[in-house]
Amino acid sequence: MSKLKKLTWSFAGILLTAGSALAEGDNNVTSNLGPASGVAGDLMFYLKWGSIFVAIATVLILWIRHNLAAHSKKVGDVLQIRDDMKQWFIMGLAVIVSFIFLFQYIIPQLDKFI
Amino acid sequence: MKRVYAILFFLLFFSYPVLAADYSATDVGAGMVSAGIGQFFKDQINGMYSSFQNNTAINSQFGTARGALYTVITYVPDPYADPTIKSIFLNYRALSIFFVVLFIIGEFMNRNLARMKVSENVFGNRDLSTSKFVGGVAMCFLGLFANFIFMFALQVIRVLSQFAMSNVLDSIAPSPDNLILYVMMAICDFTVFIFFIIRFFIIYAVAVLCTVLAVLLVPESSRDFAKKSIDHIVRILLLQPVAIFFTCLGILVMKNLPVALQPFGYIGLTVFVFLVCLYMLIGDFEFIKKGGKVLAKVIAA
Repeated sequence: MSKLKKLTWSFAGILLTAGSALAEGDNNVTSNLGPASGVAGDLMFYLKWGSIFVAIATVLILWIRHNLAAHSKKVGDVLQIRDDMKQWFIMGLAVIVSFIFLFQYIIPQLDKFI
Repeated sequence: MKRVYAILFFLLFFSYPVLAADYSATDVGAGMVSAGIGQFFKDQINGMYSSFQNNTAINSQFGTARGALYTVITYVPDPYADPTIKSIFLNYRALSIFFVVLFIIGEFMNRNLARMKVSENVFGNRDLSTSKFVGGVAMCFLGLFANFIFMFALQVIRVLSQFAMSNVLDSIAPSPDNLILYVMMAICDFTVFIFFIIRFFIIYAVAVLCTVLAVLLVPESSRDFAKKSIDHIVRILLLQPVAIFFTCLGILVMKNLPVALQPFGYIGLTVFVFLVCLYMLIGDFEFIKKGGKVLAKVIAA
């Protein structure tokens, strides 16, 4: 299996796990808040989609800035934006892993001890 | 005439033992009444602690009276044993999980906005290092386990209280000699009782809110509030061992006072313990912290 395939499968696996973790998390997080459940659910919904929107917008803006910097041959800016893109990817991965860890491991462990 | 003198002498001589016997009987009666009064007060004082006579190890070594005293004075509640508290705690834990999720998503969004460099004028420059984010998330996860840390802290407080109390158990034997001690310590207990009631309520409140407080340590905006709250909680938890320590020390010192002065000594001790409790509850600890920092610097230098 080529490296690209491995990477794609790994990424798909992480996203699927994150998807199930977040789906489980949505119920866990907002359903137990009593009278605040409705507001918390709405807040969570808008924050989730807002963050996805901002993440996509960031990639687009970074891509545009990268092209502009490359076009005007600003090597320093190009390197900086490449580093930002790398950091964006690492950050996204860290967020996904955090959610998986929170909903698949920490909360079940906490429930066991109570 | 000689006969009359002889009879008078005889009567006088034999009335002495009778009078002496009467006097002795009065003395014994007075002693009995006095001992009875003493026993009555001792029973009343012991009765306050009778429901706590379940400490087998101390009971077998020092008797039930001291065992009960030991148990009631070093008593630390177990809030999670109450199903209602447990259920309220679970609701607040859900709130802290919600805060953790908000923090992760919010931080992700905020960092992306900062990376776009379109929000610098509004929010200023941010530290975008991944390690800071991972540290924040790790702190959040640790915060979710705050109830275990709190339970551990309660255990430590119980052990500290028992340690402080165990040094004085030999000196508080329930004997008539210690009647003043028991009466005055009962008065002292009643005087500082209000602090222990406040402490009891706060322990239950913290048991419910500990995860929320721990999670509030993570965002910079709420960190100061959480730190101050934790500072007060630690002080209130330490109130018990500190009060016991000073009381026990006072009792040991009081043994050296003349008996006539002991009640005044115990009144002084009661006032002192009251002030210690008040200070632990609402006192200013800043100068102690500053002193500690200066001391640490001096030691390090």
